[in-house]
Order: sequence, then C-alpha cells, then structure tokens
Amino acid sequence: MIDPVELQRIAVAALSAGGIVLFGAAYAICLALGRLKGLAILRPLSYLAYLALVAVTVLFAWAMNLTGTWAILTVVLLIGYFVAPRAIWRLSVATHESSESDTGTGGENE
Amino acid sequence: MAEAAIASPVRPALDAVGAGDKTSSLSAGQRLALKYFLVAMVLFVAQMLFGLLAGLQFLYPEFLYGVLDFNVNRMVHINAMIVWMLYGFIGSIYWLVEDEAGVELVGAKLANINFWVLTSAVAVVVVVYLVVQVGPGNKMSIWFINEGREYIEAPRWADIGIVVCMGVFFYTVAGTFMKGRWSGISGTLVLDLIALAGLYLAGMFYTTNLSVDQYWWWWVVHLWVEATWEVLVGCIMAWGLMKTLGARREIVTTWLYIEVAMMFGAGILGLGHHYFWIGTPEYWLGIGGFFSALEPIPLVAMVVHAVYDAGRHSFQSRNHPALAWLIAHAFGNFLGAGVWGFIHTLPQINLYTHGTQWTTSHGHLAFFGAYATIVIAFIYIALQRWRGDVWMSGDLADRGWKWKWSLALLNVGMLGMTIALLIAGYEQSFIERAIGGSTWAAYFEGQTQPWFVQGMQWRMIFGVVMTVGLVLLLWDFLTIGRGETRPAKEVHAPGPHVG
Repeated sequence: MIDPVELQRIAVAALSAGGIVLFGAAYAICLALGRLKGLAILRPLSYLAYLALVAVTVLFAWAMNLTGTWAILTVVLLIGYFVAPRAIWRLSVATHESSESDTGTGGENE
Repeated sequence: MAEAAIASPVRPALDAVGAGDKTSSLSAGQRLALKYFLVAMVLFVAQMLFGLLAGLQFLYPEFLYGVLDFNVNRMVHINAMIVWMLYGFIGSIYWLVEDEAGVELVGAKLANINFWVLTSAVAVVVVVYLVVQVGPGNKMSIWFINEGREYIEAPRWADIGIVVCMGVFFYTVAGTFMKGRWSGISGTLVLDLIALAGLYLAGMFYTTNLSVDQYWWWWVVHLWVEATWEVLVGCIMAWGLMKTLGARREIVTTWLYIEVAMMFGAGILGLGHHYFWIGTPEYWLGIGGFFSALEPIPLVAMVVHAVYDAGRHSFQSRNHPALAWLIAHAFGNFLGAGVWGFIHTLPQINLYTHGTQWTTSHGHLAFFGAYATIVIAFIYIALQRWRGDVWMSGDLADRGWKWKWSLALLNVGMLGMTIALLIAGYEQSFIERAIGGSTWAAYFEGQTQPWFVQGMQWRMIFGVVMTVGLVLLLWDFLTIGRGETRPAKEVHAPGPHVG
C-alpha cells in the first residue's frame, strides 16, 4: 500500500530525490579524492556532504510518505550511499594492486 | 574474402564518404562495421527530423494533420532511435570482434548478406509506416503494417526477420570467438547477445489479458534497455578504454564483471517500476519502488572508481574526440538514468508523473547519455583507424573546432530539452494528474497551461540546437583526420602515477 505524495510536496519530493543522488556523488568524490591525494580538508567535506545527504533523505522520506515498511528504504538508502563508495574504493585498490603485481606495468592484451 | 565482403552496392557510398581513406587496410569485420555506422547515422538524422516534426506538432497541432500525424512521427522518431543505436552496437561489435578474437570474421559473406537483409527490412518497414500508416483491425495489419505495440511497432514479418538476422549476427560473432580466443569481454558479450535475442521474443506474442500482455512487453522495452544494452555498452566501453587510453585489460575486465553483478543486483527487479499501473498485483509497488530506488547507488559508487583511475594513472589519450564522448557518456548516464530516473521512480510520485513529459524528459537524457554518446565515441575510434591510424589527439589541424562544437551543441541541446520537458511534465503531473485526476478534460487542461506551452517552445529551440550539433558532427565524421600525416599517439597501459 502506498500513500501518494501530497500535492504541495511534489516539488520537495523530486528535488530531495535529486539531492540524494547529487550529495551521494559529492560524498563519493570527496572521499576518493581525499584518500587519493591525502588532502585532509576533503575528509570533513566528505562527511559534510554525507550529512547533507542525510538531511535530504529525511526530507525525501517525509515528502514521499515513507512510513511503515517503506521506512526500511530510507535506512537502506542511508547505509547504501555510505557503504558503497567505500566498498568500491577497496575494490579499486585491490584490483589495481593485484593487476600490477601480476603483470608489472602490464600489457593491453593477455 | 575480405575484398568480397566489401564488394556491394554500399561500396560507392562508403568510397564517397571515405575518399582517400585506408579502406583496404581494414579487416572484413571492420568494413562491415563501417556500413552499420553509415546506416546508423542516416537513421540518427531520421530520428532528429521526425523528432522536430513531432515537436512542431505540439506547438502547431494542425501542422501536417491528416498527412503525417503526430502518432506516426513519434513512432518513427522512437523506432529510428532504437534501430540506429542497435546498428551502432552491431557495428561496434563487428569492429572489435576480430581484434579481440585474433582471427578473421567467421561467415563474413553471410554477415554481409545479413546486413543487406536487415537494412532492406528496416527501409520497407519505415516506408510502410510513412505511406500506409494504418490498416484494418485484423491480423493482416499486425503482419504487414504495424504490430500496434508501442516502441516495438515493427510488423510481425519484420519481427521474425529481426530474430533471424540477430541469429546470424550471433553466429558470426560467437563463431569468430570460438575459432579464435576467448576473453572476459568476449564471454560477457556472447552471453549478453543470447539474452538480447531471447528477450525480443517476449514482445512477439499476444495474450487477451492486457495486464499479462503488458507484463511481457516490458521485458523487451525495459530489460533490453536496462539489462542487455547496459552490458553490451559495458563490453564496448571496456574495449574502447583499452584502445583510447591504454587501460589494462585485467582492470577493465574486472570492472565489467562488477557492472554485470550490479546490474543483476538492482537493474532486473527495478523492472518493477513499470508494473505499478498496469493491473499487476500490489506487491510490485514495493518490489519496483525498492529496487528502482537502489539503482543509482552503484552508479554513484562508481564515481569513486573514476576518480581513483584518473588520479592514480597518467592516462594519455590517442583519440581526443572519442575520449570526450566517453566522458559525456559517464555524465549523461549519471544524470539521465541516475538523477532523472530516481526523482520519479517511487510509486508515491510516479502515480502522477508516469507517462507525462516528465517521463519523456528522463527518457531523452538517459538514452542520449547512456547510448548515443558511446556509439558516437566508437565511430570516432573507427574513423581514426579508417583514416590510416592518424593523429587525433590535441593540436588537430583545424584545432578540432567541429568535434568540440558538435559535442557542446548536442549536449547543451539535450540538457536544455530535458529541462524544458521536465518543466512541462511537472506542470502536467500537477494539473492533469494530481488536480484533474487524469480525466480526458484534465489532459487537455494540462496541455494548454502556459508552463506546458512554454516548455514545448523551449524544447523546440533546444531541438534545433541539437540538429545544428548533429550537422557539425556529421561534417566532422567526413573530414576529421583527412590530410593528417602524423601517426596516432602511442599509448601504453599506464603504470602507477609517480610523484
């Protein structure tokens, strides 16, 4: 069962949804650049972006009436956007390290 | 065999396009690929032309009324898009198959005949769409005029022909890999081609229950686009990154597998967002909403990988236009599929937006960003080789103004059109759906509101901007690399960035 968005909240629902993806990307970029370049300033910025993501997710949940079992989606979104970029970072490091140790500078073809 | 493959009526056209090019240095598969690219571009022009006509009919409903009605223009616009992208994918696969397998194309002659059969069928279908347009409500119309199924209107005879042609295409590609060597890219590609052909069958039968009928129809429309096409593009992109940037095979293959896993994780059940309002059981609201909402997460997470790769390696591009279009692909896919998809994917809001210009806005940016960009990038890769593997990095003879302006105009045009359609769709969702309750009267009420009308006007303006961009793109395709004497920049699989 769903509880449709109220008329006056359509814009809030759409804008907050867009905000989730964009702040998610901002968090991911700050996280990756911070680790890659060793820039200390990017670490708090990444958390700031994640905080903004939390704020727009709460707004999104309110506008979209994500209550009852739909509340699970809010939690999964928050966890997913936090964990997935970190997992991809680990994968990036692991794949590149194993590839470099296997092939030296490597060749294009096997 | 290679010479025989090119000896066909399209040869004069290719010669005219590529006068002075190194056609004889290409393999049979690559020559065939050029034909597919040529038809793809003709269809791209057709898509743009019929899109402009349909856009004009929103502003002037009397325009061509009774001659070429909106439903016909829209159908040709969308069908041309699907077919030119398919031609672009097929061309790209034929371009890379011999290089990847390490042997000559299996069944080159058959593949050549297949091209002509498919292209003739496409031409006949388009002529029938435009000249005959409609028929009586019986099986004759379904078999010979129009199957009447939105987006896949091709009549039944053409449907069967498409399946046969895809079968031949599969035989030549899979056969080449079987004769030569397999790789991660080729294995993924061949499995995906089975799914591509198999899923099309789901759109070839009818049931008398409209909900059940729509249920299977979406398998073609959604799963083609958000599953098989995505994987196909992943394979093409993996090969393209090796060729333009010298990215290492082990890395692109690993990430191709990860992409396939992510697609299976959220993309397939995300299909459920099309099952909200077609009479399927209520649980699809939950399944479709939940998995659709998760779809952008892998896309966002992949930003990390892009940053990691760009920062860790000193990449050097051997083909600037192709690289620029690959970057446009990354951004277009992120915005069109990620942001524009997510803002209306939950049933709570989709109730109002589904089928409005809001959806059109998402569809335009997502298709352009995810697929048109990658085909254009691949054509640039092919052109470089065709023109004799010449220099296409920075410092081109004309400073590359044509490819830069076409890139800018096509992307700005598409973004502008997307925003204009979103504004029109927002108003439509509001007036027609939320307030008017989706009645017939509310439909017309919504379409006469100033925001809708102005949105359509701006859409038209940006459509013209895109058309200018397309003209420049085609001009660039005809001229880039001509007269260039410098060889292509050498790129190697880069090592870690030092310093």
